[in-house]
This record gives sequence, structure tokens and C-alpha cells, in this order.
Amino acid sequence: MSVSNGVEPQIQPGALRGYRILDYTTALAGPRLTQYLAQMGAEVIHVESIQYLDTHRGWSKRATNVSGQHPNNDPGARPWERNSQYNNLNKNKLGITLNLGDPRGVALFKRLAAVSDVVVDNYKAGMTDRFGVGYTALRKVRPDIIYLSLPAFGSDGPYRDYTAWGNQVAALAGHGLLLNYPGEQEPLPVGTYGDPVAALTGAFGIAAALIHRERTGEGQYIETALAEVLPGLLPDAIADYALNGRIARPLGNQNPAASPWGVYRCEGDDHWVAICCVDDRDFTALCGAIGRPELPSNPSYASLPARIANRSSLDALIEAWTAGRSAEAVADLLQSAGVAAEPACTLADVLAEPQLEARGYFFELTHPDAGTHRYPLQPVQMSRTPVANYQPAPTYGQHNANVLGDLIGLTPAELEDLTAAEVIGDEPLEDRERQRRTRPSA
Amino acid sequence: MPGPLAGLRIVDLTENVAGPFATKQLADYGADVVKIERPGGDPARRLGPFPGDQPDPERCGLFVSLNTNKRSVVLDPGQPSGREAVLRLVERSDALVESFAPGTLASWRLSYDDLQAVNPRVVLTSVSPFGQRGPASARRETDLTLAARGAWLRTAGEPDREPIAYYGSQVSCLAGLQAAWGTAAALLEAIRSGRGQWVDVSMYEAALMTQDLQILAAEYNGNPGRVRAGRRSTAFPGNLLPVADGFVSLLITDGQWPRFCRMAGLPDYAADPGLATQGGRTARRQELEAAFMPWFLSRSKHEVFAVAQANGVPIAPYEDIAELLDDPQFAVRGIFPTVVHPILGPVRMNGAPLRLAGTPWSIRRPAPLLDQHASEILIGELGYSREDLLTLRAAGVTG
Repeated sequence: MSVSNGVEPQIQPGALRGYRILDYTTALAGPRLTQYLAQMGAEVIHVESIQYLDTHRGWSKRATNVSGQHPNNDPGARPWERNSQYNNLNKNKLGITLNLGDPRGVALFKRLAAVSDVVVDNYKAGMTDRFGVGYTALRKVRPDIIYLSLPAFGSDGPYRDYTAWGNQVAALAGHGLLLNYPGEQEPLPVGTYGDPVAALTGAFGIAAALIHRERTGEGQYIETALAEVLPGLLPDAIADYALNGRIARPLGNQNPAASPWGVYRCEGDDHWVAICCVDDRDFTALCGAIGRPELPSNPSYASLPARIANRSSLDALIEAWTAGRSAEAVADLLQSAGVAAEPACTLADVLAEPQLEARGYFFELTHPDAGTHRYPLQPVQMSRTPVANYQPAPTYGQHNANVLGDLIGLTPAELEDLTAAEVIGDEPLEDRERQRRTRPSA
Repeated sequence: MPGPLAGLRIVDLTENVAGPFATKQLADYGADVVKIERPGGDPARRLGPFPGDQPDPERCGLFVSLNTNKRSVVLDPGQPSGREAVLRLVERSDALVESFAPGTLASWRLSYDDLQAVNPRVVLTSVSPFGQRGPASARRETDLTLAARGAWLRTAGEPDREPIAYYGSQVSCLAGLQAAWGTAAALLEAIRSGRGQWVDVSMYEAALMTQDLQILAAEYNGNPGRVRAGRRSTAFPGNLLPVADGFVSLLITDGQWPRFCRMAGLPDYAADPGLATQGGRTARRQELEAAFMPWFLSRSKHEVFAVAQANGVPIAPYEDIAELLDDPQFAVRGIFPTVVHPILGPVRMNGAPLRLAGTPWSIRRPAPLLDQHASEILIGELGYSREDLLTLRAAGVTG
């Protein structure tokens, strides 16, 4: 049985069509993980509560402390429906509300799990167990359930109860000290990087677990710790320590094995171009393009070892040429000579990027509160199972009647009772003591 | 216990980092990955790091990390008999993953249609800088140039200096993860439909993925996006603080501020209503730095970490690679296992990125030596004779 969105039958031709995902997640990592599944055509039911706002709907119902996330910077009458982060992470999902602090909410969650294939949870480790909807409990109602959790550090080990945002996790996992200018000690702040990587890794894990289930009928428990997905992205640094005992230091934009290789200032305020030369051929092509054909025969730059040794003077020569030119013109000129070069694009550049237009990277959606916008899609395109009819993110409790009514059979009177008891609803309650809220892992 | 992908066979025509990172995920979770190396081998074998910095294609640390659980056979798919061998493998496989420039496979008559002709169930996954189509698809790229065009580069660095890219080959790694995800989704679909498809992965869009929330925010309100933050936050306590032996990372919300004060033994500040919001704390930054910094500067990053976490405050140390590999949490979780390689001996490397309780990640074999499995695959599994193998060798098609 498939849930209709109440408007028209949802035709989901994606690779994950027919799988139902019970999405008990908030903030970034969890909703992003299930967003991957939703973009492959899975039926994702995002479960929220009216007691606690999803942080990506805004930290507060009144949205007084949120900036830059609402269309035209206008929070509107219902700011929680206009937040770009929520609306991006939850597009193509169904949305329901349930208060899991209420036994009726717990019972309904279990009934939904019984008709779902996958449950994803990114609340603090152990929280769903306390609510009675952890893996052990749900396996009893759905023996082949696949249950994925997203703790910050993992469910065992000395840090199992530790709390951290994505940027703390990235600092601990080796990325923080490597993101810097060469030779400088004080690190730069590192971004919330564990969340998107954990989301992608977890989506892969769920696809793999579904393959196993298709072949054996067995479900399983999956754990994707934010801290554990990040070291794998540093294979060369870890290998150098393993083989040579050498602790990697920040390189800025340098490549120790190549030169010229870096980011150069261009015309205008904060405009830059990245230029990379792998070998002599690239360097000769670069010198021809910038009108310095004599440089490859200069002994200081004639060989790769010489260019690496004289990196600074070479970079200065190149920057003297780029500084008065537009980054885009520099990149196009060098590309026409076969040299890898690109401008350091802004978000505005990305929105106008012809390559993305040609690939169909953006999909236009009309959201009842936020209006019509182009939403970014995933970097993976499927030739035979593209998803063609993405839906906007659900408004609060938009699909309560479809999911709780049509799917598991509650009557309109029962839905009214649940509404009266604040187990479900279509608008967040006034802000509670948010600091007492059980925070997700990220 | 075997991995979730046990029994699936993948033909791996990838080189360098992005593609091998994808097939490593498939291999480490159980698939039989046959790595086809062109004569001379995967260029990643020459990238290092090498023990003692002595280049040797069989001692490359990056290669042995990215190619665990794979088998190697040398074949030149550009030659007719090499192409024939690839197609024989494809007949017996579930997917082919490749990372050549768009059009290369077709030039070898190994296009998606050619693969389908011998095996309609086979999935083709292509990883390329911009995907298979579009005006940029022929441009030359590196991780750095893709991070630049993908709006990732601008997010780090001091505002008045050049922006700084994330370390290493992370655009490639992220693109590889995307390819692993797309391949797994297509394999799942093929199990149900009996039909393969072409999975087209853009490395540029994988870089953009790190920024997609900001992209939609810019689309919503026309804002050009945040300027990179730099080290000096105007807020207190900001995103990083120095301690006695390094730095800690932190992010303190209004709700966590009282705990932060109690952690540092300064509960009076928790009760001060003027400091209850970020704005209030920013306005009194100098006063707060004078009050709180002695506590931080007199403690090591691991002392601060332990005390903060005991108080429920999200603070963590900046760790270097050595500290990371020795970190007790990662040790308990087995995140950096030792793999015995026939030439390098025991090597520590990255372990499981995610735990599947019923079908775990495992290392069944170290990364292959060049052409290590030629006889096993060509004779044992594809039905070539010893004489055929000699003919292929003489033609320079195999190792």
C-alpha cells in the first residue's frame, strides 16, 4: 500500500520505489540521509512533534533569531514553514506529527514501523530506547526492519554519551588541524562536515542492507557515527603516519608533488582562481597562455623539482598576471590551453551555472508558504529510474490524515481526539523550555 | 559473517582516487571487485606516500588504503582482445564502475549499450568531473579546481586572504561515496527489476553537496552567502579557543551557556540576564575573555574535553593524525585496523565508516599487487587457456 499525498497519486519511479522509510530525525544529518532516499523514490514519512520544533525549521517558533533562511528574508506568518534548510532537507517526504512522550504516540509509531522497511533515528544515543521505539522494540513489530541510528561518536566506547555538533566532530576527527595555511598554528574553524558525510554514508548503508534483505529476508541494525565517517576521507595522511610516522601538517592549497598549484588573486574584491599544473606539458601550456613562453626554459622553472623548489617566486609571477584579470576569463583562457583552472565561485555563480542547468541539477517546486524556487538535487543521476515529480517539503502535519488515517486506519474521530490531546497537530506549540530539549547528536 | 554485498561482482575500471574510493566501499562490504588495471597499473600507485619516500608502485600507502578487498588483473580495454576480456567479465558481473573522461568507454566500444548487449542486468556507474553531459564536461579538473568552482573553497580561510581548500583529495572521496551510493541503489533496483541502468556521478556536484543548504538559502533570499569566518570570532566563546596544549572546538547555544559557565567554575555569569543571548555575550566579549580564558589556558585540551563533556557542554579537542589514531574512542571501536600487506607488512588504515550489525565491514584481503589475480580470473573464471593468456601477454594486452 502506498500513501497518497492528498493531491494526486504519487508516482515514484525511483530506484527505491516501494520502500517505506520511517524518518524520526531532526536537524541536519538525519533529514539529509532520508533526503537521499526520498530522491531515489522511497516513500519517506518524516515524523515531527508539535512539542519541539525541528532546529532547521528555526530555533524558535517566532524565528526572531533566524536570519537569511526565509524567502526575501521575510519570516512571514508561519516562519517554520518558510525555512530554506527544512524545506531543502525534507522535500519529497510526507510529514506527520507524533508526540512520543505520550503512550498514544508511541503506539502509533510502532504501528507505522510495522508497515515500514526502514527506520532512521538521529536523536541522542539511547533516546528512542527510552521512548520504547528503539531497534529492540521495533524488531518485535517488524522482524525484518532495518534500523539506522546516527550517534556522534558511537553507541559504545568512552565517548558514547558525549555531545557534539558537526564542527566539534570534524575537529576531533583530524580535519580541523589540516585546514589551514601552511606553517600556521592556530586552526581555522572547521565546518559542520560530519553531518553531510554521515548522511551519504548512511544512505549507502541502507541501500546495502536492503540488498541483503531482498536476498535473505533479514533486517538489521546499522550505526553511522559522525566521527567515524570522517577519517576515511584522509587516506593519504593516515597512510603517511602508518608508513613513516609522519604527522600531516596543513598544506593550504599547495600540492607537495606539483607546482604551480594554488589559488591566485584576481580582479575585484575577493575574487580568486585555482590553477593546477600536473607536469611539464601543463606548465608549458600555462606559460604560453599567460604570454610568458620563455619561463619553461628558465632554469628556475624548467623542471618539476625546480618549480617545486621555487614555488613562491613562480606563484608571485602568476598572481602578477591574474591580479588584473577576471577569475572567469583566466579560467576559460587556461582551460582552452588544456590547463586545469576554475574561478572560486560564489553561491550566486552556482545559481546561474550553465553546467547545472544542462544537467537538470535544479528542480522547481512550489511550496504553499515559501513560494516557487529551484531546489538542488543529488550529484547522482539514474538513467532508467529518474524521479520526475518531486514534491515540496511537507508543512507541519500535512500528511497526518493520509498516513495515520489512510495507511494505518485511524478514523476522523480518533484523529480529532489525538489533536485535542496534542499528540498530533498542524502547528508547533508555543516555545517550551528549549534548553531542556533532548538534543540530537548533530 | 559476510557483508551485505557478498555474492555481487563488480568490474572496476577506475583509477586514482574517486572511483577506487567508490569500489572500496563495495568491496569492503562484501562485493567481489575485479580491478582492471591498464598496462603500467593504476596511476594512484605512483602517488605515495611511500615508506622512506622511496617511490615503488607496490608500496604506495594511498593505493593500499583505497584498494582493499579487490583483485587485480591487467588488461588494455583499448585493444580488441582486452575489450573482449572485459566483456566476458561483464557477462558474469552485476556492475561496472569507471572513472575515465566522458566518451572514453564509447571509444573502446564499451558504451552502456555495448555492456547491455552482453548483460542487460549490469549497472554502469561513471564518475567524472562534471558528469556525462553539459557544456563543462570536457574541462580539465583537479580536486582544488572542483572545490573552487563548487563554491566549497570560499568557505574556509581568513576573509582578507586566499580561501583554503579542505585537506587532500576530499572532493574525490565524496564523489566516490556518491558513486557507491548510486551503485548500491541501482544494484538494489536491478535485483527487483532484472535490469541495469547508467549511474552518472558528477564530482563537481559532489563538491557542491557540501554547500547545498547555503545554495537554497541564496535562492530563497538572493543573499550572496556567508563570508568565510576566519579565526577571530566577534562572539564569545566563538568556535575555537586556545588551551594549554592546543585548541578546542566548541559551539555554545543560549541553552548551553549556563552549563558552560558552571563547567568553568563561573556560575555567576550563568545567572546574568544580560548574557543569556549570543548578542549579549558578544557585546561583553572582552570581559568574558578575561574571566574565562585563564580556565582554558591552564588546562590541556583533553582535560577541557573531559570536564566539558561531564557538564554536557559540546566541546572537543582539535586532534592531529597521531592523536586521532591513538584516541581511546576510536581504539575501542576499532576504527583503524591493521591490515597485513604482502610487501609492506602490517599497515594501519581506515576501518568501517558504518556498522552493519548483521553483515559487517571486513578486510578479507589486502590491496592487490599489480596483475596478482590474472590467472585466477582469466583462466579460472573466464575460461581462457594458458595459451590464450600467453597470446594476450605477447600482444601487450595483459601484464
